[in-house]
Amino acid sequence: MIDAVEARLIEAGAAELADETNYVSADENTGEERLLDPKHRLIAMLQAFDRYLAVRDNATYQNAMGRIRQNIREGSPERAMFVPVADAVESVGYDLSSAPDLSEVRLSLRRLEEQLREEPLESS
Amino acid sequence: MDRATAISEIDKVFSAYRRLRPSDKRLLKALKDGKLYELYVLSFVIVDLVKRGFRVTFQGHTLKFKGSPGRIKRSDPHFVIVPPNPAVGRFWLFVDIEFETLGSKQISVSDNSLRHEIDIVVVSVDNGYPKNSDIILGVECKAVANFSKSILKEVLGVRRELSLLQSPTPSLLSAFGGKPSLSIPADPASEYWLAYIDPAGNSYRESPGAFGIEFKHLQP
Repeated sequence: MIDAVEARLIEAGAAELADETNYVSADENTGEERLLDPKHRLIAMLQAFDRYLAVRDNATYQNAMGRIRQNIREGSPERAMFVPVADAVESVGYDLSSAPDLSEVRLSLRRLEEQLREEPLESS
Repeated sequence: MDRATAISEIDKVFSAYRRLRPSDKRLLKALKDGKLYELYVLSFVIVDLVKRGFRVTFQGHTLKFKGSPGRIKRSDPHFVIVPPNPAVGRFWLFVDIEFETLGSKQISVSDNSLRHEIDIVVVSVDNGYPKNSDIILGVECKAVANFSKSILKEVLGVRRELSLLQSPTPSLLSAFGGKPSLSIPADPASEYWLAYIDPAGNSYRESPGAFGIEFKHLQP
C-alpha cells in the first residue's frame, strides 16, 4: 500500500513526499534512524500530503486575509498577489485568491487518516 | 479496513486533487514557493503585534509577495506599525526583503554573501537595503511538508548575521513599548521567528532558543 501512495504522490507532483527517508524515527538506545512501521509510515505520508495541500488551499488564503482584516485599523489589503520579479507590473503577477478550494479533499484525507489510525490494516 | 478498500479511498482523494490542481505554471510556482503560507504566517505576525499594543495600518491596495527578494521600496504596498507610545516613531512591515549582514559591517564584502533574505520583516527604515541593525523583527516561513535539519542550520546562519550573542535584554519591540516585555539574547535585540507547518520542527527548538530564535508551529 505504501508503494501505491508513493506512486500517487509522484503523479500528484509531490514526489518529495514519497521519499521514505522522511519517515524515520531514531532508536532510543543507539540513535540509529529506522523507518517507521508500515502503518505509521502510511499515516505520516498522508499527513504530509495534508500539509502539502494546506499551503495550496484557497481556505488558507481566506483564513489569512480574514485575520488580517480583523486586526488592521485602516486600509486592509484588498487582495494578495505573487509577482515573479520585484519590478513586475501587476498584470504579470498572480492573484493568490485563485488557489483552488481543497477543503473537501483535505476533509476526505483526514477521514481516511483517522480510519487507518483506528482500524488494524490487513496488509500494508 | 482491508487493503482494497484503503487503496480505493486513497485513489479517490488523489483523483479529487488532480481535478482541482491548478494548471497555471505561475500559480503553481507561487504555491510551491510557499507564498500562501507566507500570507498565513503574516496574519499571525499582525495579530501578535496588535496584541502587544502596536497599531497596524496598510498602505496600498494589493499585498505583493515576490518571487525574488530585494530592497525595500517605499512605493511598494506595506504595513505601518505604530508603537504603543507614538512619540518613539513608527516602523514598517515588508515582505521578501534582503538585509545587509553583520559580517559586512566587520569587513568589506562584495560577493553574494553581502545580503540574506528574510520573508517578513519589521524594520526601522522604509527604503533601500536594511542593515542588520534596522531589523526589529524577522520571520522565516517554511511551508515544506517535512521539516529537515537544514532549515535549522539556515536560521542559525541568519541569526548569526543579524546579531551578536549577548546576555538577555529587552527586545527592540519591547523597548518601544510592546507588552509583555520579551528578553532576547542578542545585540541588536531583534526578534527572530521560524514559522513552520510540520510539527516535527518542534523537536529542534531548544538549542536555537539560546540564540533568540523563536519556533512557531503554525499549521493551516
